[in-house]
Amino acid sequence: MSDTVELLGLAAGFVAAGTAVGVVIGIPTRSEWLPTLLGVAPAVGIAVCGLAATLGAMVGLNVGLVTTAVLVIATVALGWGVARRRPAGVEALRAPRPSLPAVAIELAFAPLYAALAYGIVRLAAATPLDTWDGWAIWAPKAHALYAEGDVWGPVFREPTYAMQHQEYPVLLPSVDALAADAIGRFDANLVDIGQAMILLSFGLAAWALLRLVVAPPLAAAIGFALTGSTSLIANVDANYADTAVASFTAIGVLSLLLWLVRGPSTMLVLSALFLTTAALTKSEGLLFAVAAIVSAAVLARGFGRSLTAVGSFAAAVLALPIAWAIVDRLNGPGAKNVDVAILVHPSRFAAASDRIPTAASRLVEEIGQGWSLQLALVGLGIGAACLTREWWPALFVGVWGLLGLAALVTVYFLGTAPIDWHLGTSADRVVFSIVLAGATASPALVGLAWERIDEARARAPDR
Amino acid sequence: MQTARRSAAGPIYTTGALAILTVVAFVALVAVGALDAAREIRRLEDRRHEALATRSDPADTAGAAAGAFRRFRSELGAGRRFAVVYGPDLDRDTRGFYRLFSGYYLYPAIAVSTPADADAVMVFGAPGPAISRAFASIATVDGVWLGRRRAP
Repeated sequence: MSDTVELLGLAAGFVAAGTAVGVVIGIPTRSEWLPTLLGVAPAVGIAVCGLAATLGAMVGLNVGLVTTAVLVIATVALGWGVARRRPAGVEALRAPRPSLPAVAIELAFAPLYAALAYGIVRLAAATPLDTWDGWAIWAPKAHALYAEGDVWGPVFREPTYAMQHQEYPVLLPSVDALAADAIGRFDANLVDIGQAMILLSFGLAAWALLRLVVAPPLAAAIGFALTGSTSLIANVDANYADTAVASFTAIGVLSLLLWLVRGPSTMLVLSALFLTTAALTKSEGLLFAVAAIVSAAVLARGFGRSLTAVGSFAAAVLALPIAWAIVDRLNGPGAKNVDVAILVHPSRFAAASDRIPTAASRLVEEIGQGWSLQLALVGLGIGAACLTREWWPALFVGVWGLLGLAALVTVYFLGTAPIDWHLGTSADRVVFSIVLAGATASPALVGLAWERIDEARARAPDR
Repeated sequence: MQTARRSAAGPIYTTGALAILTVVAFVALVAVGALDAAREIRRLEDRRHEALATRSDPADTAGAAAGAFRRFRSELGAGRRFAVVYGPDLDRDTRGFYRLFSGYYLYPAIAVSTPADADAVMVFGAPGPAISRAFASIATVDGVWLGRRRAP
C-alpha cells in the first residue's frame, strides 16, 4: 500500500472516532444535524486520538494505532454508558434549514475546500524538514514516540536532549507518531502531514459550528477563507506547532461562546476537548485555555450560565495539562524558559519592566500588519454585536483576546532569553491563536446581531 | 405627536442601519478572504514545485559538517550510544547547534554526555589521547574525527 492510502486510512479513522464521540456527546444523527456531526468529526477525532495517544505515552503505554484505538473505543463505550441516560446536548441550538440557493452556495465551497485540502497536503508532503523548531523540537519527539512508544525514554529524560525542550507537551508529536505508525516508518518529509490534517479539520469544524448561528454560506466562506491563510499553511509546512495550537484554540473558543450564548452542554464538552488539546499542544495553548476559563467565569452570570458548569469545564480542561506537568517534573528539571521569580523581586521586576512595552507593541504590530483582514473581521463582529446590544458575547471575545495578549506579553516579560531575539524568533507565530480565534468567533457575533436586527424588523410597525 | 415619535425613532433606525452596514461590510470582507484563499490554491502548487526543487539530504542542515554526520550515522545502529566532543575552536552557539542536530539526525542512536558511556564518538577537532586509546578511528570527514569503541 502506498503512503497516501495509509494516511487516508488514518484520516478515516480520525473521522470515525470523531463521529462516535460526537454522537456520544449529544450531536443528533438526524439529517439536518449531519453536516454538524460530520463537520466537527475530523477535529474531534484528531483531538480524541491525540489525547488518548498522549495519555498512553504518559502512563508508559506504546503510542501506536492499536493502543490508541483501544483507548478511544473504551472512552466511547464509557461515554455511551453515561450519555444514553441523559438528554441530547444540543437542545438549545437549531440546525439550519437553508433555502435552495443557500444550499447551492454552501455546496459550491465543498470542491473549493477539497482543492485547498489537496494542495495543502501535497505541499506538506513535499516540504523538506529544514526549519529550526521543526527538526530541532517537534520531529525528534515524534520520532522518539514512534520508536520507543512513551515519554520515559532518553529523548524525554536525558540532559543531552534538554535543548529539544523536553518540557513541551507531546500531543502534536503523538499525532505525528500515529501518522508514522500508519505508514510503517518515520519519514522526516511526511512528518508535517499531522499539522496539515489539524488545519484542515479546523476549517471544517469552524464551518460546521458557525452554520448553527450564521447563514450556512457565510459559515462555509469563513471556514474556507481562514483555512487558506498563507501564514497558517507556511507554519504547517515548517513543522511548527503554532497553526495546530491556533486551530484547536479557535474552535475551542467558538464552542465556548456558543455554550455561553445558547447553553447546549455539547458545546461546553466540545470546548473542553479542543482547549485541552490546545493546552497539550504547546504552552501558549494552556495560556489561551486559562484565558478562556477566566473569561467564561467572569462573564458566565451575564449569559445566565452557572459558575458550577464553568468550574467543571475548568477541571476538565486543566486535568491533563496538570498530569503532563507532573510527568515532566518526574522526567527531570527541564529548561528554564521563564523566570517567575522576577515577579517577587522588585529590583529585577523593575529591571525587566521595559520588556513589557517592547513585547506588547511588537505583538500588536504583528497582528496589525500580518492579519489586517482578520482584525477587521473581529472589529466588525464586535461592532455589530455592540450596535445590537449583544454586549456579553462582544465582551467575551474582547476579554478573551485581551487576556490572551496579556498572557503572551507576560511570557516575554518573564522570559530568560534576550527580548529582541525572543520576539524576533516567535512573535509572528504566537499571535496566530489570538487572531484565528477572534476571526472564527466574529461571525457568531454577526449572527447574533443579525438575529436582533431580524427581531427588530419583525416588531417594527408598517410604514 | 408624529414628529416626536419620528425623532425618538430616529436614533433607533440609525443604529439599526449602522448594524446592517456593519454586517454587510463583514460579509464583503469574508468574500475578500475567500477569494484570497481561492488564489492560494494556485500558489500552493507553485510552492510545492519550489519545495521539491530545494529538497536536500537532511544532513545538509549541518552545513560544513554534513558529510561527517552522514558518515557517522551510517556507522550507528538503533540504540547505539554516541558522544559528540568539541574542540576549543568551536564557539558556544556552534556547539549547541551540533548537539541539537546530532540528537535529531543520529536518532535512533542515543546521545550520551561523555565518551566513557559511548559506543562511538564524533570529535570536532583532534581526538585527545584518552579518546584515541578507547576508540578506533573510523574516518576523518570534513575535519571531524569519527571513532568506534575498541573491542575490550
